[in-house]
Amino acid sequence: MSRLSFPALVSAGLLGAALLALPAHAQEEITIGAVGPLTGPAANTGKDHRQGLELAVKDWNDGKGNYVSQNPPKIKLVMEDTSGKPEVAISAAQRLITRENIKMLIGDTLHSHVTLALMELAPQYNLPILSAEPVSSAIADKVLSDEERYQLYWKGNWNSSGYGTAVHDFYKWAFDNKTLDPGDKKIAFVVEDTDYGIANAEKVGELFKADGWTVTSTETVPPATTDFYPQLSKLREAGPDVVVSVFTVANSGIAFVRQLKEQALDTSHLAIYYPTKPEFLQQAADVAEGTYWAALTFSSELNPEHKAFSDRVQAEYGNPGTYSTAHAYCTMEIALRAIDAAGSTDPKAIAEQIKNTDHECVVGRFKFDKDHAVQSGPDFIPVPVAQIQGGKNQIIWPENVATSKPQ
Amino acid sequence: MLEVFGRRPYLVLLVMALLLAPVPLLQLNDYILHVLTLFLIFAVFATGWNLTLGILGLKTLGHHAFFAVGAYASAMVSHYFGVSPWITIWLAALIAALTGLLIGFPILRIRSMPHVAIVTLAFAEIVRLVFANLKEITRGELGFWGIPPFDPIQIGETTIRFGLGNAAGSFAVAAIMFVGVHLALLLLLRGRCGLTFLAIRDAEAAAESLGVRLAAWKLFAFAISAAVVGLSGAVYAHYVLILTPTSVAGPEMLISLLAMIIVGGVGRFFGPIYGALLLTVTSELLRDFGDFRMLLYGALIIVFVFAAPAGIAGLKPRFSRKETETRKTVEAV
Amino acid sequence: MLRLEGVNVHYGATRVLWDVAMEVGAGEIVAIMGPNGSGKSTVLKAAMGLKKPSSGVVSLDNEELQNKSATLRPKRGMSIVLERRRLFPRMSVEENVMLGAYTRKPSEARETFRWVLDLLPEIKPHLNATAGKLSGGQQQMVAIARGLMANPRVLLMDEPFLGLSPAMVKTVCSIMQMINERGVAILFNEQNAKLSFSMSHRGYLLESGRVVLSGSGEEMLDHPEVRRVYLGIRETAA
Repeated sequence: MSRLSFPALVSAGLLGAALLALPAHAQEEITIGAVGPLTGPAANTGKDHRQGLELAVKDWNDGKGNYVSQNPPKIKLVMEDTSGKPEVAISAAQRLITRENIKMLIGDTLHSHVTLALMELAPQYNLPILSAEPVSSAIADKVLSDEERYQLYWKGNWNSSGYGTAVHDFYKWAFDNKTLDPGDKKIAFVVEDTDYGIANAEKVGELFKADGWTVTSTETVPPATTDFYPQLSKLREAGPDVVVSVFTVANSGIAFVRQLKEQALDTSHLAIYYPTKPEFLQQAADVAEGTYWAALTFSSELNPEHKAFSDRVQAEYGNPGTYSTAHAYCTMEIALRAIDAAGSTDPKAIAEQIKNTDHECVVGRFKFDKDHAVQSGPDFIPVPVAQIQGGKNQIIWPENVATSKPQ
Repeated sequence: MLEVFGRRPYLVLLVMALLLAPVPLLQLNDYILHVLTLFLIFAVFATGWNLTLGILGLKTLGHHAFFAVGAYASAMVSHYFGVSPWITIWLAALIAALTGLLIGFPILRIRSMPHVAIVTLAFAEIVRLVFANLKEITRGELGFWGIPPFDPIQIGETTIRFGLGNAAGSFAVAAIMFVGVHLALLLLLRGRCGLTFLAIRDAEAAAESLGVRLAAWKLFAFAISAAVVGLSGAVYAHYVLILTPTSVAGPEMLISLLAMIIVGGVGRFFGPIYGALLLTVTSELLRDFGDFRMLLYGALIIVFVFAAPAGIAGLKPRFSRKETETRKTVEAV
Repeated sequence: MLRLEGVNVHYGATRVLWDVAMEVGAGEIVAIMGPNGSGKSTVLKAAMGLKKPSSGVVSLDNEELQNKSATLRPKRGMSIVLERRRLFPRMSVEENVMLGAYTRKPSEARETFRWVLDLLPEIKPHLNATAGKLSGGQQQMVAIARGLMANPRVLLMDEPFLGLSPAMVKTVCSIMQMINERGVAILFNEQNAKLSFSMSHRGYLLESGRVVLSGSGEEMLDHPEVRRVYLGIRETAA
């Protein structure tokens, strides 16, 4: 055997193995596929998604579902890993389509950019696709650019502008009822240098400007920054009345709040995202008192429904439920109810039923808008603003879900 | 040369082409075609990178930047100016080559390999940040979408379509690129050019004393290598139809491509192909193992690095070595 | 033919050659002798253009070359056999030798290749072998063959005897003489005074980067300083 033919043999074997991978035999039940980041940096969230999806299917098959018809179909769930990469997600989805013969796909469960790739499969394979947590407005823009093409694709979460709208509406409400003083109407931002940070700053800034405010500065820092003295000294000079900070890393937020407190700026501070991390309150309770933040979408402490859900997850999987678990559960419920209501696995019928969804679930009321995205706001999925009072989180806005008044 | 190309490189390539040719006609399901398409794209990427990394011997760690440059260049030109992707992929290769020259110049002045590694790595990070921050035109991490697939081709009654979901057509494009690029590189490297690269890698001072113009040849290698990688990036873009700076120029791309080259065989012409095949296909085959998938995947890489330190292309089956030894003994008697 | 005048070389801030002047005439064998670290190799590198002198003139047939790149030298009829051979270890012997004719036309190269094989028949059986797997002596032959492929008028040899067995040293000596008989001038360096000067027409003694002595081979061998320091012979007072 020559030196060359051995590697050639190895590769031929591999190729053969790939070609021979046999399709799974048909099942009587209806199979729903899901793809999400089960490995990689976001694996933790992916695990929550899997638990939520599985729990919803389990409830459904055990006769504990929220059914539409008298004779709901049995469902099988198969979830595959994307590693958070679009091309891997496509592999995973195509495997589900060809080998598992799925009638619907939940995906991506987390990443917007992966969803932008996956949604192309809906027209190609005539497959209803419902994404779970992705929020990017780009997805809705893409749907609106060709509604015919993306008629089978639906987005199970609200658009990324939801946060900005909530922050603005909260402040407007607080100024109107004299809880806060708008002063010279100057707002400043300190955000991490990611799309998430910048998009939020831009949206909030835009809405405030429409009300006659000026944006004094938008300081961007690399993710995981913990030294904010340069940014804070600029803030001191500009003297804004409202400071909005956005970080996805809890340590950045803790450092920022601590240093802001030391500088004793006379400003109202609203934090986006990082206070959702439990470690924020654990490590910054002493300095974070009075901080406003968005969005307290899931709280076992304040919301008995959330607590009940979290306890169920705890009993089932040994870890508490999170917003991601709850949201995935609700997304799966939408899918199940749509298939049930359609009475068949006809893709168009399922998409039609998703469109008609008006479903009250643990994280809120799911109703889709014209752009195929779930709506946010007090009447739909609330984006509540909280305040840290006495070392604890309290929802202070919107009023219909508030657990306390702003202090 | 023998070590790099093996005994009959053209024959090996021909066998590969003959294995690939009937695949679209086999009525395979789209999933398998998709995995094979990814393998072909990454194999070209890895081969291009191997030109500087293995064959020229420069420890460059930033070639995912050229992949991103090629992908974004082709995607943006075709999206914004309505130029056919059949044309823009070549433009992308050219732009990637120019970018390669740009980074090649400072690299020439650096003698220490760890520094070359750091500079190229930093360069890739700069490219990623530039694409992430040119939000007006790339949409940053939100993802650049609206990339047109390759225009359909009409042959008689049948129309061949491309892009996601059109698995056979996409596979064909990737396979033609794969065979074409490797054939072109073989023609180039089997002659004086390949000898020059290897001479520079093995004994730079000797090469210079023989009259090899080091700077010019290194820049040439950089340009060719970047062009090949850029071309593979462009084909990737018109296949997957979505780009984000992190997914094409992020550290994960770096790691998986390096793993392909190392497992396959650094500095061996066919090594990266075997590496790309092994890692792309097994990562999918391992899906049957559920949660243990990435664990097994990592273990597989470790096993290969230990069992075949020179890569798959450097493997010699044990019985053949024994055979030669026996023959030697006989001669000695 | 090859001439160095007032050549100074620095490595960073350290000056390693001080106003070195040397000459190699057509058809001569010239030795540079000196202790370790005296700058012998640097002289050859400066002559070949692998190390740029900070000042001074390097000329070949009155053409100044000190500011021109090393890659020009082979075309002008000058080539070098580097210290420790510096073969391309993973290429075959034939590929190594043929690369010596890098700047020449393939047809000319073929012709020289035949001439070189004629001169060094020892490498013939190994043409397809991997260069890195040969013995030190065989590698030196290949390196010399590679150097000759440029069809040089001057062949520079950096430590040609380094690490060779005594028998191999003899062989290489006779090869050098044979090459020289075909009209190729040779400039080489070596630490051993006897070896250096017994086989050369002229020689230079280099100490701490300066030429301290020069003369014909015999003159050098007879010089009391050389005899005392480098040959270890104590002169008895007459």
